[in-house]
Amino acid sequence: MVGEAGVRHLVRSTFTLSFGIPFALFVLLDGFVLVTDLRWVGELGWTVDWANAGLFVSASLLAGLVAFVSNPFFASGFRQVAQADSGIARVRLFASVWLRNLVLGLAGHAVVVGVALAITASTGPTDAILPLAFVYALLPIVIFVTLGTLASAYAPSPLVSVLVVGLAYLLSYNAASAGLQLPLVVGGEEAGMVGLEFSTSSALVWAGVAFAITGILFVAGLLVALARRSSIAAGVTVLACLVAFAGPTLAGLHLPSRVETTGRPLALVCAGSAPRVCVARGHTRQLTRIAGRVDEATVPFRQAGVDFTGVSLEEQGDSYVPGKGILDLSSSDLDLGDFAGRDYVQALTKPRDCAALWGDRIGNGAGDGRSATSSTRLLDLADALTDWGYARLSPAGRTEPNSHHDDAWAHLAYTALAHCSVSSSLAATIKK
Amino acid sequence: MSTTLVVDSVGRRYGRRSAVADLSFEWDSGVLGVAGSNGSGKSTLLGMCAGVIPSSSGSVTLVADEVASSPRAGRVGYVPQQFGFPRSLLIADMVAYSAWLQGVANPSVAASQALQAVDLQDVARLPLGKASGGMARRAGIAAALVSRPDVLVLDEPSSGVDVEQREVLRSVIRAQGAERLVLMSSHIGDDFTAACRELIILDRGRLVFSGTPADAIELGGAGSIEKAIVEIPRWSEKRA
Repeated sequence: MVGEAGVRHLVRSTFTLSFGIPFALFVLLDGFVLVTDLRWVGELGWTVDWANAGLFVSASLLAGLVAFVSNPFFASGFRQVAQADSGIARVRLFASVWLRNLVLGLAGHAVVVGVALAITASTGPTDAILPLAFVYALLPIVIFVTLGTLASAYAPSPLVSVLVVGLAYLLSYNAASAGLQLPLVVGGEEAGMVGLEFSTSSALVWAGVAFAITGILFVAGLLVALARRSSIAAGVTVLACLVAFAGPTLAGLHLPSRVETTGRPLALVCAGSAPRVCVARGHTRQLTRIAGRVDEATVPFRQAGVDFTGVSLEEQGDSYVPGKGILDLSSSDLDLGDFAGRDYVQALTKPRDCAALWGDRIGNGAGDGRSATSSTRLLDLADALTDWGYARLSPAGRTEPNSHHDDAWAHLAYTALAHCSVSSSLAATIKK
Repeated sequence: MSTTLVVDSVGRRYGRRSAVADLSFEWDSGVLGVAGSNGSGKSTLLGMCAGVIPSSSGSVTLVADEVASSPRAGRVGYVPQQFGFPRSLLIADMVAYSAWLQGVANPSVAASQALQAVDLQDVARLPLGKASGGMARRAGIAAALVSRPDVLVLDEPSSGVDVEQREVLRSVIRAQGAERLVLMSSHIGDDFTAACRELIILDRGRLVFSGTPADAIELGGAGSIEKAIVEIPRWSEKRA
């Protein structure tokens, strides 16, 4: 479809000012959204996916930009001079302009992703890039490039280019806020992604839906190119947009979750001892600070005679590891640079070796009164001990519901949690 | 292979207004000038001859070796009065791209030959955004020539072009007239005397004169084509 002269035109015109300015605009906006939230730094595996956060806004702009840069090609004057006003010539015109626009979108986003990957790789040891992230990065770009090119083929005017930005943003916003089943907003997750990986089967489904939408818009573009009457072109354009964007939602399409748990132990890096603190490789840059804060949190417990020798706190993946303390690091906390002091204390008090609480029994124990009671007691006691430890850490003497307990109680409570067993008498001491 | 453009009782209405009415002529060699005041129907006639404007009545056909066909892209090259180029493209790339769009076998070679025909080979690497009005016009003609059409239709090619470039343009049009049928409209009388073998003058969509530019000047009795364009319709109206 795009032969020798078409490719040459495509390449040469990509490196010119009138194409370069929209390209730079897209890169700037795409990158700007990304730098407003730096939680991706250090997580090479998820950087590509996080970089998609920018597409929520920048892909809408991209749709308008590609419409704008396409307008001179679809204007009647050029089509008449180039004798591309009908038949195969207009099909070639649409296909070649679409392909060039796709280069604009993909290359622009690749620049942003490349810079983000370089930054994150420079922060230290990290996990590997997840190849499927690239598939998801393509989806909104391909869809919105096709939408913009279709709009320009139908009506090559600056006003339509602006309207396309609005329409694309509306579609993105609706997809994000109303949970529409459209692959327009992908990536840029708020939650930490450690312990997760992409599902290949889900990626195929998402890509299938995206390419179906793209296919509808692309075929509509070809039909618009071939249409002799503007009313037919208008009808095709509106119908294609309705089928492509409203169709999946009206049909109740439900896309599967993009991610699944790895089922493998996390690759960890550790520091300190008593307790030993471990974080996922992607969070290595945070390790020294986190280990220091954990060490501070242990002070009241040490004073109460608690010995943390052999205790290990590990960043939480998505599966329970018996005998390991849970360090629940949310990416938003990492992004802010620190956690609330209470979180560190809580990491120390959570029952570590307690299948009754974290393991299978809690899932299978529906109707088992004893299990439910035991779990509730464990959690209540852990909260009470957290109250106690956090109050001791605060220089002004913070008041917490259980801060009145003495060191002996704290030692007893810690030992009970470590053995996953809370007596009735100990449970009775807890204030809720 | 000789080609004849046959315009037979062709008409075009826009709503209740008649832009061209019952107009007939044939053209079989060289450059035919199409003259007339604003709104006389020149652009509509040329658009119908190029196949980009459908006629409301009558027909326009190209007859070659006794085979008649409708004007279509490939057989007719058309450069409208107003057209824009993607400014980012180099002149050579735009012409080659046009050739590729039209399915010409070797776009680069065809583009090179077309650029030579319009004397733009020396500025082929110039971006269209930096080309002068005259160069842009000639680039448009080159794009229209890449498919080696039988007929070249030029709607006011010298509009907005400086005197020096206008001379070059006329020379290009004369040369094209030796190779194919050329229809050209203009508001500048010298374009007709310099490039056209014959001239037709339109008035309110009707043909009021057909002959050589010299005949038009003589019939108008005013010493110039511009005045003839004004006087001949008056004379024609009085006679009617």
